[in-house]
Amino acid sequence: MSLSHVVLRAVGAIAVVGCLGAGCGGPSSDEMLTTERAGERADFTAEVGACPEGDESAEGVAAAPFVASVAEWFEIDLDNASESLAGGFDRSSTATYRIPGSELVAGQDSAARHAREIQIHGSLLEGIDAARQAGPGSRALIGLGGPDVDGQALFLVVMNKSGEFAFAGHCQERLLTDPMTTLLASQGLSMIELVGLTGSELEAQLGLATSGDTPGPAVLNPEFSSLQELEGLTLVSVVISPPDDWRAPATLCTRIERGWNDCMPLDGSIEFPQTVSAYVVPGGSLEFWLLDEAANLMRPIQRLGSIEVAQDLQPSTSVVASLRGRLAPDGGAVEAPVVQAELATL
Amino acid sequence: MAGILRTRRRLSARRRARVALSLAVMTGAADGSLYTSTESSAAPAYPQDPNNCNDSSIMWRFETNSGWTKNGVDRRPWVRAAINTLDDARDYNGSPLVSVTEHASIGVEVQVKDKPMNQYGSAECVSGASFWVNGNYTSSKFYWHVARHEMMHLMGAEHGGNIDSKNGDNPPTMMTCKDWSTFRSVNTLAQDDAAYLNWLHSGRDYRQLHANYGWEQGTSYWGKTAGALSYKSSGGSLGPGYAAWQAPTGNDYLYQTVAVHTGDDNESYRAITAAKSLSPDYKTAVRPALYRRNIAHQSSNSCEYADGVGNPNDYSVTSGWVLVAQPSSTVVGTGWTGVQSAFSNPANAMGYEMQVRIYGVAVPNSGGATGYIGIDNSRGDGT
Repeated sequence: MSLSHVVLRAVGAIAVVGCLGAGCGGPSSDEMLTTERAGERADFTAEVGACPEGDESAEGVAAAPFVASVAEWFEIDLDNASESLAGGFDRSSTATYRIPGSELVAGQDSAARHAREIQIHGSLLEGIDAARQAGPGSRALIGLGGPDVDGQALFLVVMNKSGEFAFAGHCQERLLTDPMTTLLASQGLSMIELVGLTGSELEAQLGLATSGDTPGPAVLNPEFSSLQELEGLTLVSVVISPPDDWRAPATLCTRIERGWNDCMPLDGSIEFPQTVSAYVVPGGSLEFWLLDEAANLMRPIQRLGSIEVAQDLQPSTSVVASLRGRLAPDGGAVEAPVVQAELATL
Repeated sequence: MAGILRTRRRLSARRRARVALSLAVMTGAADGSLYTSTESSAAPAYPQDPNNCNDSSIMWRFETNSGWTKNGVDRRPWVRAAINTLDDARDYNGSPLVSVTEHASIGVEVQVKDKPMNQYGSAECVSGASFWVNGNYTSSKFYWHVARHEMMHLMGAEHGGNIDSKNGDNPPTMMTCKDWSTFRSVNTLAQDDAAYLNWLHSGRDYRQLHANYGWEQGTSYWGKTAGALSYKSSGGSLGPGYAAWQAPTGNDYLYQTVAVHTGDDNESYRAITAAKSLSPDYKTAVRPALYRRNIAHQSSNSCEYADGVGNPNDYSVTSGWVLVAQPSSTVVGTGWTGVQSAFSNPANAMGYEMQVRIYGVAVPNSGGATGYIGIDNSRGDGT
């Protein structure tokens, strides 16, 4: 069963929505949709998500990872919720309420309705009235946290039949509704497509799934390379002397087959000659490359040449390299590059 | 191991005004990062002082509120323990970088509030310094992170990224925008926390980039390419501690890396250390060096960052290590000698991983193995 089937079934189950309590004089669903089409936010979004006056400061988790941390969805039975809250609720504190509804899992039939004790911040409960005012087909769903937060309610989201949504509770228009609206629009999704999802499925929908870092070019550095990557390599110093007129937004780097060594800027920020470090393979070659100003290893510009490293290289060896050629003013190339080097011992 | 993320920038007048209202107004990022602000790196005085948000010595007290206890558990010990870790950060000479003292009735009021679950805390430094934490959480690590985070705001710190230089994906205290489940499970300062407090409150000139640069906390955060490295508890350059290192060759080096998120700032940096030969029987040459790798942020998120900073969480690095500043090798005797480069202005980037290296070797005057070098106050610093 698809998620849409689940959702439609759930909507059908709560299709009869009464108008109880305060707020029955609010805008009709049709009025609200007209407003929305005019490019303005539906009224209920601001009503249920405003900040208490003078209490707007808060920092915490961003919208997407917060929504993605939901462990369980619970759809409120709007027909019967008023009885649960008949005693009223404190909008400024968290308490436990017995709320009628049913658990909702994507791809599964709705669970039987029952009343469930839920610990929830009172300001979120304003969403129940908002859902009633939003007209037939509107829904109110609670996102519950996992055991590490004692199953407390994380959020309450209200949706009308056309899919417009708002998160209820103090400051949630700014903290959840606005950023989620932006995010879902950018992903081409609607809020209803998230309902019932948890874990990796929800993270994937929200673009939070980590596919793993794309491995870039190997860089040889004692802090960032594994022992295996550096095994068998000898650390040497490379004294580099480019021509004095090599001044351009570019860098000069050395590399061996196993990865990239240090670079030096050619932008005039340092004087020549300079000494940088390099890992080399005794008996192997050391290449000299021109890169851009950022030393972007994904797009090396030009291989300038290479030198052969002695087989009997001593750990105290320095490579003294001189370069010739004409560096383009924009750093885009070296014409007729020549690399010469000799070994020295400190 | 990856670099850390901090943002330090000059505050615009507009930004100062906003910080004056609240140090930390979350904007509701959609994709998982928090936002930043900051701090001048160009002047010897701290520009956040007018906001009273750059204090290095803070007296604080708990608000009297029954909300501290939930499910029979008092959260105040967790908050207190978190705040007290700030005393662990050490300046170049071993003195605490900051001081936090609990008092019964005066000082910064530490409050507990009953808020929706996505609101973790907030700090205020204008109309009576205070901060609050959300009392609806039940995990100690939530309070460790949030309480230290808010107190560091009052010490002038701004938001950083989620990757610590030393501990990889264990986020430093000033990370924001991430779910609380990603907070560290230990109540200790991360390397980035210590480095940031050095940046804010070290007694040395300029802005210090690195943590434990006075070697007063052993060899913490430092690495080496080779050789024996040990901590000496007396005889340092400006404080008691220093490092004794027997480098096998002049190609070897000590290193420490931190990351800074500079946005559109344009600062200059240098490498600096103190060094000496531990014996007159060696010719000892030393040179510090500062290298950078450019940090690229993913496209900006809806968290609010100042000064052009994008998203400092989950940043990427695609550049090689580029030399920023390095002096010629200097021969040092048996007395402490300062060796430093000139300041250099690297090509602009969203931020840098800054690796300071200390090269050196003590060559025996009459043959044999290399000797020990004394190393102290080793760091990169910025204008």
